[in-house]
Amino acid sequence: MTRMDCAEVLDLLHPYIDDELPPEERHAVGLHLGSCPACAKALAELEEVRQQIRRAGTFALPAGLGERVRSRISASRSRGTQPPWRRMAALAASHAGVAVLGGAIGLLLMARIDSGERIVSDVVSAHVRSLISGEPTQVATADPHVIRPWFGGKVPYAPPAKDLASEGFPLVGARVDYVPPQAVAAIVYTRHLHRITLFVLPGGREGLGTSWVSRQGYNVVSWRDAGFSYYAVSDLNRSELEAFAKLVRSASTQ
Amino acid sequence: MTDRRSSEFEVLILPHLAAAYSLARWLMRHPQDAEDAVQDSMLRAYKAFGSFAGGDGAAWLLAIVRNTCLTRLERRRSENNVVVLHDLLPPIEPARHSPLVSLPLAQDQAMIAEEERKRVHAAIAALPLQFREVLVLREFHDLAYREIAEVVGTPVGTVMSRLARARERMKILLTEGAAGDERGNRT
Repeated sequence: MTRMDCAEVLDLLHPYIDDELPPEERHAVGLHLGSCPACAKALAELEEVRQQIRRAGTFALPAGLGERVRSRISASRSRGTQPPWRRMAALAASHAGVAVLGGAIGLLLMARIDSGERIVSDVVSAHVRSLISGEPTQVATADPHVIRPWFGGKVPYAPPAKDLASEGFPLVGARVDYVPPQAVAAIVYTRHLHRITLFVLPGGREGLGTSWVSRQGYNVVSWRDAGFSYYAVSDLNRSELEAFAKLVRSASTQ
Repeated sequence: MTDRRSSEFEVLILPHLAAAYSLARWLMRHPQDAEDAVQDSMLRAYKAFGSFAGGDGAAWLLAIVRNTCLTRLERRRSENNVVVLHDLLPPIEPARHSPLVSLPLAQDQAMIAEEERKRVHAAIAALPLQFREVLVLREFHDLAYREIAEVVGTPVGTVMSRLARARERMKILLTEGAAGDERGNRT
């Protein structure tokens, strides 16, 4: 591609910072920015506005709204012509916010065959639970140096965490989750709109390749490295989730 | 709806409730109106779920939320024919702090951060709706241009130009606010 002038570059700054440019254009903009202080300054100002907005954050889901939504849906469901057991299920759902989750887990339970299956079901349940609760992270930070010590005393191992923002998978935080029979480290990333939970479990042999399964509309990519078993769970499509897994693997073996 | 479809709704759509509220909150600019719009939207989404062909559950839901909010805003305008007071007020109820929950911030740092958050929120709330929605979908929901286009129902090129204008306006609003702190005097 030919060299770009300032006008062209300034037009492309927004898609540039949003990572929406095809590789050749992205490269050409990058080249220009490296040699043009005026355009580099415009980029820095734009980044600053964007950081200010992101730091401010959006509004959190009000307490109880999830339950109110579920009971309204249940109420509309039970008004229809439905068998009594169905109305009872709706009633139960309206009284226990977790009944929704119970339904999802119930289906997953049926899918359990062996212990590998069980772990897959458990990590998908844990991922869905975190989405429904509206609290996917207990520590919200993109800094791996905050996350690692944060796990200290919460799980008996130090899970590797790495920000992959430059590869399109920003780190958003971490939480301790429960994957029977133990508390495990869960590291949370995003890809555009999609949330990825990376579960890190102690144990597992080395050297096995990555494997993929789909459960309840969620993709699960798993592998074992250096004494840990990894499960990446997301509604992201399979190929992007596998690309994510590859990045994590290469980052942890550096 | 079959039980299977209901379970799918719970697993594919309900997890996006927080995103639905966030978008509604920015469009309606009022907490209670946003809650009402979200309840309405989720019920509509549930009833329309039979037509959900798979793919991106969040974009599908957010498009419904947006339509519901716009309908409600239109109704509010035609019913009142005057500007509702809370249209003019910046959102002020405390939102959850996102950064670094585990690190104790010094009291004054926390206050500065809170001031900053209010200032940014007031600036976003002051944007015209068509700029505000693309900005919110991009910065808070991390949607790709293509996904924003799907929610808003415009071509990708329009999303790009609106986003650019939204950010330029934000830059001006935030710079003004920081320089003179004369926000309270402007109408």
